[in-house]
This record gives sequence, structure tokens and C-alpha cells, in this order.
Amino acid sequence: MRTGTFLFALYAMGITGLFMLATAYAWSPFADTGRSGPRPAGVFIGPTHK
Amino acid sequence: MAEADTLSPPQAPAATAITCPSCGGTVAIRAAGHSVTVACEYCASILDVSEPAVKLVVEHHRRRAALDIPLGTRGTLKGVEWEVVGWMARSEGGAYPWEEYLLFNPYEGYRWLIYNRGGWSFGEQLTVVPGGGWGGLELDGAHYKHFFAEGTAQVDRVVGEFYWRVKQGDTVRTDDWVRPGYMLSREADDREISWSRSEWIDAKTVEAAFGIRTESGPWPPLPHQPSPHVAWLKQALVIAGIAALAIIAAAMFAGGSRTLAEQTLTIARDGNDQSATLGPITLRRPYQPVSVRAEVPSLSNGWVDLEYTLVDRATQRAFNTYKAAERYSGRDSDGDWSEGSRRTTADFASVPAGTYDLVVDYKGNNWLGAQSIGDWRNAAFAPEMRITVTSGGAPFGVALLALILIGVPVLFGAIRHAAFEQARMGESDFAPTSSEDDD
Repeated sequence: MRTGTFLFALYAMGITGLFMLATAYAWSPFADTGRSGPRPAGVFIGPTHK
Repeated sequence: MAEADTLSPPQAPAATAITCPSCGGTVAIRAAGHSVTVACEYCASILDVSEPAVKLVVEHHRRRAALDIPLGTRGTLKGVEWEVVGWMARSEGGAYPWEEYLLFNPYEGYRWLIYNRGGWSFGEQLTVVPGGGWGGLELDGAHYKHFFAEGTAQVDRVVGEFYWRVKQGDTVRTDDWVRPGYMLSREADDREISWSRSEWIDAKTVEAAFGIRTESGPWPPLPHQPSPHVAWLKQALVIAGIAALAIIAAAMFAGGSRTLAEQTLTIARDGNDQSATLGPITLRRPYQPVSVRAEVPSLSNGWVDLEYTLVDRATQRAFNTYKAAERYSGRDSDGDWSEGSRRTTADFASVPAGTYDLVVDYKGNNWLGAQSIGDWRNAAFAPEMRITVTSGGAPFGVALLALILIGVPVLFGAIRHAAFEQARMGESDFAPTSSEDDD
């Protein structure tokens, strides 16, 4: 097996393994947990239309 | 001696020597009985050796050529030991030069080792004429696409011995057809048409066979040079496919959500801070995602601030996040417009098993810029908010991220392969021209 193929196989296995781990721990980089507490000062609430 | 024996034909001597009538140099004939002409390696004069009396065909008095692979060098290619017996420098009217080494083995005959811009090919004369195919030629079941058309190849320099009468200035008309790894060449003059097939070979193979060092590979690639990325790309696609299937299967296996709690809350007309608690919420899996959806059907030109706190009753550990449902609409010179949504979802990740309460702190707000509609918090709009707490669900976002991460190297390899093929095909007489080129 070529070195490049072997390295990519390792990489793909690593990504798949991390996904399995993330699934087992219900982790997601898109979750809101801990992303913010109370709304930070200066955050605009209102229409952004035009 | 054993090496010489393997190359010696049973009935004829492998080599003999003559004296060049022009310069007096001793010229070895390595394929005696097969060679017709010999180019003196000292003065480049062409000698006719087809008869016992050596005749001078063309007299030259040039410095001997310095060959990368000297005449007489032996090397093994394709499992056969070859000896370099001749060398030609050729070009298209002085441009695009390349070199051709004539190899000889008494049992296998002649082959060509062709050197062009740092790339090597192993060629053989064909005894069959390739058949016509759709847009190209067919030979041994393989399709070749037309690459170069109506070229002219001339002999610029010649050294060594050959099985036909060759001299400097000889010119032939050429056409070439290619498929990855192979090239078919047609050479024609006024007397004959000859066909040859050359196979691209790695420079390291030639270096190992003849003990030489060559330049780095050609760029743009040779017409028949196979893409160095395609083998990796094929294997990477298989690996990426297996990984993608595993990820999708795991995502689907982890899917399935259930509702943990639901409650309808009333939003105060005066915009005061309010609070409500939903629970108990029991989470059984070791870790799970928890989603909280808030929906305010009557929300109009305003927003609802939402602060969620998910508190473990046993440990008092809290997960906190903030959201806002906001919805605006109006009319301007372009017509009606609207933006935002009457619903919003907060996602909690990695929530451990336990019994929880969800504390919802919320506050309804009215957009003072709204002109057309009054305060949505008025009782006439029945300002209620529906809170729904769910757990589980397929992690499609994370799965998509994993698939993208796996696909990026494959995409990168595909781009490199496409760039290689574009550069290779750009050399063809049949390369598609862009509109910019036309301009």
C-alpha cells in the first residue's frame, strides 16, 4: 500500500473514530451549551432588514 | 563472461569491430549481422556495414557526443537485459528535442528507450497496423486518442549502429495517439510507414536499470504520462466511501428522539421578566443531546428573550444558554417584507444521565420601530409560548462535518489530478481552446 493511501486511511479512521466518540458522548460543535450566558451587552435585537 | 554469454546468439558473435574510414577510430558493432549502418562514435560519420567492406556513407568530423547512457551500457528492463547500441537526437525542425536510444537483445530484437524532457518511454516497433476507432485508434482492445497530428520529426545527431539506413537530416511525418501510459506513433516518409508503441516508464526504473541519474519529471507532462494522482484517488475514494457508510450508519443508529417535557407559558403584557420551571426531566442514557424549542405563534414585530438553565437535581450542575425568538414584518418601497422566526431551538450537548429541571427566564419585547401593528403582547394576540424539551436525534450536523473532513483530501487529490490532466491535454493538437484563447 502506498504511503499516501496508508496515511489517508489512518486519517479517515481517525475522523470516523472521533465521530463515534462524539456520538457516544453526544458532543456537537454546533450545540449552544456554554456558548453564552445572558445576552452580551451591545447585541442588537431588532430587524436587520435593510 | 557469464553476462556476455547470455547476450550472445548461438551462431554469431555478439560484437565485432571495424575501423572508421574517416577518422580511423575503432568502432564496435554490437549487433553484428543485424545492423545496417553505424554512426562512428568519435566523428559521427555514417558507415554502411551491411557488406564486409565497410563503406563511408556520410563523412563528419564532429566531437563525439556525450551520452547520458553510453553505447554498450547494459540494463534490464521488463525482465530482459538490453544493450544500448545506438542513439539519435531528434526534433521537430530543431524545436521540441528528444533522444532515442536503440536497445538490442539477440533474442528479443530491438527496442527504443526514449528520453523527452526528463521523462522516459520504452518503445517497440509494431508488426500490425492499429485499427480505426471512434475518434482514435484501437490496438489490442485498447483505445488511443489522437494527440499530435501532422508533425515532422528530423534526425539531428546519430551515434552507434542501426538496423536501417539512418543519417542526420532524415525527416519523417509523424502522428501520435495516446492513452494513459501508452503512445502509438506513426512515422511515414516517401518509402514506408512504420508504427511503434511506447510505454511510459518511471525515471527511477531507468536509473536503476542503467545506473544513471536523470532530471526531475517533465512538466507539462508527457502526452501519455499517467496521472500520478489517479491511483491514490481511486484508493482514497474506496476508503472515503467505507468511512462515509460507517458514519451514516452510526448517525442513523444514534437517531430517534423523544419528548421529555412540554409546557405552555403566558407572556406578560407589560414586558416584565418572567420565570418558569419544567420538570422533572429524566435522562437515562450516559450522555445525550437535549433540545429546547420555544414557539410563540402570535409573535409580531417583537422578540422574546429566553434564558435556559438545565439543572441537575442531584449535583446542582447547570447547563446554561441564551436564545431569542424574533419576528418582524412591514412594508417598504419594494413591498411586504418579513424576517426572523416565531420559533427558536436551543441545543445542549453531552448532558449526563440524571433528573433535571429546566428553568426558563423569559421576557417579551415590542419593537418600537413597528408602525403598522400595535403591541403584540396585547391580550388580543393571545401571547403564549410553547416550550418543548426533547432528547436524542441523529447527529446530522456532526456527521456532515465528519464527511466534509474526510472529503477534503479526496477533493484536493481530485483537483491535483484535474490540473495534471489539464496540463497534459494542453499540449495536444486537439486541446480544447478557451474563449480567451480565441480572443
